[in-house]
Amino acid sequence: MIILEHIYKCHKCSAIIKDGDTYCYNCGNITTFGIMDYDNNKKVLEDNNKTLVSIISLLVICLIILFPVTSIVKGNICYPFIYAKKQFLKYKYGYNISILTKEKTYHNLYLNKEESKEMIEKEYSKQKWMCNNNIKTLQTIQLIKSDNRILNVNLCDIKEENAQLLLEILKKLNSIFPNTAGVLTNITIENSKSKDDYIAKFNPINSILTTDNIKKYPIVNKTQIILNSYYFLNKDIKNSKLKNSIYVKDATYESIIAHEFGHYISYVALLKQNNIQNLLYIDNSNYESYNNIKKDIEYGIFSKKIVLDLYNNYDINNDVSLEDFVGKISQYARKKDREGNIIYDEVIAEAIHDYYLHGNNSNEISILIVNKLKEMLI
Amino acid sequence: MNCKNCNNLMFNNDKYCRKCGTKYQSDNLIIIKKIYYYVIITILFLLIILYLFSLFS
Repeated sequence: MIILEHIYKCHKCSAIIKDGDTYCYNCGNITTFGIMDYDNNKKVLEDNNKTLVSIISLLVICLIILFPVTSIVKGNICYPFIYAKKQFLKYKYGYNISILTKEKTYHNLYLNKEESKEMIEKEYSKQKWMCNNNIKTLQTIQLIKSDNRILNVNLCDIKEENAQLLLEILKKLNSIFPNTAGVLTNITIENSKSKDDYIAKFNPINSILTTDNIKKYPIVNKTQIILNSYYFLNKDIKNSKLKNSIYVKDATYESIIAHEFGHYISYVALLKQNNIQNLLYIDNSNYESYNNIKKDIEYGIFSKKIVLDLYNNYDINNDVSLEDFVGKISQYARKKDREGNIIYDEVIAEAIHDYYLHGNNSNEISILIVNKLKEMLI
Repeated sequence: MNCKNCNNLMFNNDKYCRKCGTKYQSDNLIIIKKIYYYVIITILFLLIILYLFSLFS
């Protein structure tokens, strides 16, 4: 007896399939049996991971919505990664630090005065998207910039109340010394080497463009106030108390900032006395004056002259020593350098500090110094 | 071995289930695929959290 058995083949891959198979075991294609009884053998496309794929799709949709929202609200689609970096750094150091990296300095670049100004104005502009300042803070920063004619105010991530405080300090100092705007080029928040090294510091000449040729110019300088990120990004400076102060009576963190601006005011007076508007751009016309001013700053000649003139007029009978004279302002005003000389710049800054706090009720020496500066700044 | 979808008996050389057409996958491959999906979900979830946190910071 001969048994005739029909051989079925897959339409697609020609693999021999068994009678009744609805799908090809080799390529997964539906067979004739499958087509004939399609409704009953409908391929169950149910994937084991169908739920997971749905979740992924949902999350992707959420992200697609979040991208433009972040871009609009925070100004850059990548801001969340910077936010994560900030949080990581905060965890690492224990407090917020400035995320911006210092801008590089240039050598042998031939710029004119306008281009130099522009260079200072554009500093940190490529990094500003990393900052998270609310609108009110941005408005305050703009006011600080415009009221004081400062080229670049970089207060990235500053606490709103600290920006407001800075504006108030500058307003108060401007009311005492009205003609001091326009010399400061930068106010920048930076990280100090150790967290509480200083609250603020004044840097009169910081060259960002130097030239190595025989002429040694052009040179582009910034005159800047550097604020310590530890204080300005973390603390409420106005309400922080100063312990064991060697500064003038009633000194606060706020007034120490005024002390640093005191150095700036003294610097402006020095420039005015030398009929110099600023030392932003140095070329052959002002190279000599620039060197003289640098020397003056290095040895504190200008400050020394102010203090000694006042001392000589004050102490006609030689009853008070110079140290006691400056010491009337504060203990800090007695500060000496390594060679044991009084640091006259600090005396002047302390006098301004005292006047900032007490006005006409300041120490008589402070008033004398402030009045002298006012005269010079007219 | 059996089909992971319909439990139909599968032969050694079968790449697809003869009954439901589901592609044969070894247990290891299934686990790897699941891990892969879970990693993607975790990354996406963390990204969303990060974006939301940064938006409201």
